Amino acid sequence: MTTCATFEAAADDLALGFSPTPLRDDLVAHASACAACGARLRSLAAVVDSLLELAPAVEPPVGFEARAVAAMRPPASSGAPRRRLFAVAVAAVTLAVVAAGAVAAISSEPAADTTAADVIGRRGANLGRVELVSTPSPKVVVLLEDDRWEGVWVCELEDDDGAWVEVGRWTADHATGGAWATNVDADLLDATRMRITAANGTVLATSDRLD
Amino acid sequence: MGVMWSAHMDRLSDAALLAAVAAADEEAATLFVRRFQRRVYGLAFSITADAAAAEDIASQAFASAWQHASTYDPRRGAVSTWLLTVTRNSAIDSIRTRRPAPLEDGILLDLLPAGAATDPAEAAASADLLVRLRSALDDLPAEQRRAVLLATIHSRTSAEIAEREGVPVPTAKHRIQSGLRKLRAAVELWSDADQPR
Repeated sequence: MTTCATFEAAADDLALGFSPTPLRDDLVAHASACAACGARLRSLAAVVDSLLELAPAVEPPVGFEARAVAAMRPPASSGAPRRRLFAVAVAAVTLAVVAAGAVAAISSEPAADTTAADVIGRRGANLGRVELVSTPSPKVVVLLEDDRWEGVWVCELEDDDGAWVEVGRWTADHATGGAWATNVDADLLDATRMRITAANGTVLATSDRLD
Repeated sequence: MGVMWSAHMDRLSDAALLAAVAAADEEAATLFVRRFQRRVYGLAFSITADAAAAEDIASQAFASAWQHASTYDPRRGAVSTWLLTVTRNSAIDSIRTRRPAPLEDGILLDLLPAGAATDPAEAAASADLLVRLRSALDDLPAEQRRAVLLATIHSRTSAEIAEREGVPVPTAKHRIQSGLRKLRAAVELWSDADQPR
């Protein structure tokens, strides 16, 4: 069984990724259970990771870019059309700021595992689009364009009981458009509408019915 | 209506670009590779000292980044740091199955400036950390600095470092340990100093 003393002696190798299994598993288990050792490991790992930024940049061989991009493509599925957007969302709230004038529009024909709707502002303007995506994991993706958004916004989905469920919030900072996505519980894939409220509960925008 | 990210995608922050990559946007993937390929390949080459192996590892790293893009948490650090960690992990897995080529003597001193981040706020923050980190590295005794860089950037084990430096393995381990802990102490000191009063 790993003690704090033995963890201390092995923490550097663990942070460097050099600990062999099953020792690594024991050490990780100890770090999970001991707050002090866990904090020590996290700070060591942060130093190791930060030092990587000092590695020299080297031009890769000709053709590398195309090969690397090709390696990032998902395998072709049988018959299903390629979808340009909304396959995966970030776990933490992230605002992707699209500069002024950019129009990020969603395909008018979402794939079979997606429901979508327009997002309508308080003055009736079409502000963008929302999609609920089921694969590879349930998520909501909101794309907004051409409006002034500042402060903290709250994204809510209306469940099939008519209740509004908060799924996340983000901070917009003088953005004139943006994209935001987060994972949601699977039962919210049947949500009927999405709305955006201010932190004080004022409704800023509501989607049409998701279908 | 079609998707029209392209007009401004090259101005997206690293985190926003990664979010677009996570959403399977092809243009975002190309820009992401273009933005980071020199650093990813550079790190892979620093570890393997082999161009072909470095290319495989770098390509693998971008594929892993795409697959795991949704796990990136901006609260934990820069996209570049996350991506380089993914690269290093891929490289370590690779060199576990083969012995890496010997490192040239001058390679440890070849610490080029970090690439400029596209987002000015990110550049200011990351440049500040790197300046501080370099300063802390400079404060280390030379043998500890070499050991730390060999262990982190070049991913050499204590045994490999001991062989290269001509010292016993415990000595190499001690140099790595002492060096990392001094750097950790310096980083924690900055974090405390940066806290709002």
